[in-house]
Amino acid sequence: MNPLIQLPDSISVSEVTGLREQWLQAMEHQPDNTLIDARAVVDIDGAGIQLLAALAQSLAARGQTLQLLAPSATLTEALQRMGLTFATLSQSSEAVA
Amino acid sequence: MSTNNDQDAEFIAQMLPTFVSEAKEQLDALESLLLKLEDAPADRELLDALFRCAHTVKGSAGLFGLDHVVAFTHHLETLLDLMREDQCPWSSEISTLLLECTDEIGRLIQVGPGEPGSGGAVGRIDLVKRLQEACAGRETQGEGATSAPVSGASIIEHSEPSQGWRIEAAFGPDTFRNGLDPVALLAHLSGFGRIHNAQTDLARVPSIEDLDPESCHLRLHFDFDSTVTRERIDTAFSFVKDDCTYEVLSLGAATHKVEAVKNAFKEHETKAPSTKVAGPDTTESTKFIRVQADRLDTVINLLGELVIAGAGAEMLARQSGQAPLLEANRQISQLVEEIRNGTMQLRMVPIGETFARFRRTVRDVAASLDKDVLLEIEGGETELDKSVVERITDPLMHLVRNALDHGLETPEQRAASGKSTQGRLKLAAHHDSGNIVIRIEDDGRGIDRQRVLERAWERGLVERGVVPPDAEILALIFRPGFSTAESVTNLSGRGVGMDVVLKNIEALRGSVSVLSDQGQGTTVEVRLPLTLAIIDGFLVSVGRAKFIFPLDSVIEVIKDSAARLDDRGRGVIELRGHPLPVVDLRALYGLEGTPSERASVVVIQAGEDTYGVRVDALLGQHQTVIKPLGRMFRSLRGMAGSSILGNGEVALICDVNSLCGLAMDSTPPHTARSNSSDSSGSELVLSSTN
Repeated sequence: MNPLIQLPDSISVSEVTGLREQWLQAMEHQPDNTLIDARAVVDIDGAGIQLLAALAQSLAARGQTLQLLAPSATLTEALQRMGLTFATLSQSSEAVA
Repeated sequence: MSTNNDQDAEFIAQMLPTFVSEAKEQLDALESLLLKLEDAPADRELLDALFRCAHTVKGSAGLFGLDHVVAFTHHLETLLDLMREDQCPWSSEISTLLLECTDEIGRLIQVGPGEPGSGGAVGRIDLVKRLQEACAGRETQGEGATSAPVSGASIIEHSEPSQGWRIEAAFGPDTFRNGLDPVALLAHLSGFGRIHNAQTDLARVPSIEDLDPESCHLRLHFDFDSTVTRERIDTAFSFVKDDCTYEVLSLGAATHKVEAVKNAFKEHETKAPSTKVAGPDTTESTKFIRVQADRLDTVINLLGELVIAGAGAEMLARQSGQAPLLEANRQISQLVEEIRNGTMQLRMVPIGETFARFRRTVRDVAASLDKDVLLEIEGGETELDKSVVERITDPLMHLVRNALDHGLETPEQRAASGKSTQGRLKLAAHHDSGNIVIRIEDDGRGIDRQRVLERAWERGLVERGVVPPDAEILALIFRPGFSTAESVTNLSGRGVGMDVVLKNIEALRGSVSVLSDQGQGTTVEVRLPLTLAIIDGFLVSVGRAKFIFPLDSVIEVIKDSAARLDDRGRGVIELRGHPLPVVDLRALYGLEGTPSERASVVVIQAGEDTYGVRVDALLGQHQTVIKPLGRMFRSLRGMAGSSILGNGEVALICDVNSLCGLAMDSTPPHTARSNSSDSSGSELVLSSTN
């Protein structure tokens, strides 16, 4: 299956508004897809991480789990620094859900 | 792609001048901050502002590919960062080093990319070495401290063992919008400690449907192992503190809650701290539009032409006698006048920026002369035309150097004469009837009249044995050929004498006066017109000749009561019980025609003095575009420039200050002539002991 979202190379505060629109559209078109291709990310800041978390939140609310495909080193490192893992992203969303 | 690159290169070439001028502003700010830091070495806000300035220069230099500037500034930034972190204490040596580095960056920016200016390369390497030594200095200091604790602020943190902190931070909604990033904050903290048990609380992050992605809802808590002090952690948070509520708990004493800083979510202004410190000159630039000076000059020149053309049209309208045309013209004139005032205002800049530049001069010169000097600045907000500012800086610099070199004494000499050891130099400015008055005041030894006289006798400027009035003795210092080799130091005696200072100021239609109390100090007062371009004038005629007085200096006009005048047209009349010196322009300039029966006396204020000028007829207010006098007329006393009237006639603009000299001059005509024709000045010598 093709991923729901192909993460761009940069997910920072200047991109998050546009990305949110794109992602919402994608979610509408493919409601069953939860696959996020994360191999391209070379730059992510707090706003980008928050957007990913919000996406996870929404999926969790529908009983779905975010699946990160091939996360780049940058993304992994940024999440680790924040004390987040791919699992906690999904977990915390479940907890809220 | 290549076209893209070409476009980039073109863009960079276009933007480079803007970068250079902005970088210069940053460097000026750096310099003034460094000087302020000398008075308050522990001021955290100053240090932060310094760091930001250096960082801005480095960042924008990087954008323009000025790698040599980036590389050099990086070293400066490193040292500033250490100072900010209390790891490297302020000292006067470091201050001097930082100032030298600021100068060097200025040079590097001037030279431009690709040409690192081979002449300065050695000096630069030396500066980098000294910067690195200064940085390294704190490390060795630190190591020494762990083995043998020494008191001192810079090493306190090393005397404390590594300890753990528990940090909780809740970021406000505007965090991202203000360009701040929790991830970057963590990266910064991990630079001087170990972060573990980090957790991000996502509970407040809404689902993506409800999220405003630029609002921050993140909360962080983590353990932080580090040897640094609580203050150091606060510093790390200082950039986000307006957007962030955070608590720092010492894990060593977990129950003891160290002060929690709550500045939660208040409206944030990223630049607020630097505004406070750097003052209006650097940080308010966001409110300004940058305009190239020559574009503004073009507008002002055109405006001058418009004023002249407008006067011509008005005259024709008046001749036609058509009331509606006259009315329409009057409206146009009024609008032109408003545009004129508004446009001239655009070119007005506060003189404080020029004064601030002298801070550095005073610091360096005083240090090199072993003098202790306090510089006071007053009226820095006083505005004047930018073109005047540019041309007044050098003469002012010379006067300041003179005061430092010849006027102010060394601490020992001051103590010996019962003064405080610290000398005082004051730069002050204020507006006075269309002029700006700049005073350079020192409390030094004053001008030694006897010595000035002796030199004047020696040089044949005054006949030996003759003692002129006090004011004339003081004026002797402006005569060419007054200075001698012995008084020429490398500071003030650079071949630019007081005569050149006077000439430069007179070229701006200005004047200089000196007041001096021996042993108490000297005040040099420079009086300049606010603008060089267009003024409100008062038009008069003498025979067929037209003259213009600056309207600001005209006090009143009285009917001529047939004053008795000498053959050069000077005399005295009585005005409300006071004598008023009067000069008659017809006699003074040998104009033809017979004196009018209804002559008037225009009463003029020139600085402290009031005098009258006798003219034939009053022609009223006139917008005057100032044109310089031709070379032939440069030596003409009493005239400052010319202007073209609406009908194409030329009017001469009176220089109220030099005309005042001619009106007041009571000496016999032949002396007056020789005095006035060469009363330019000379090197100032103020001391008998130096």
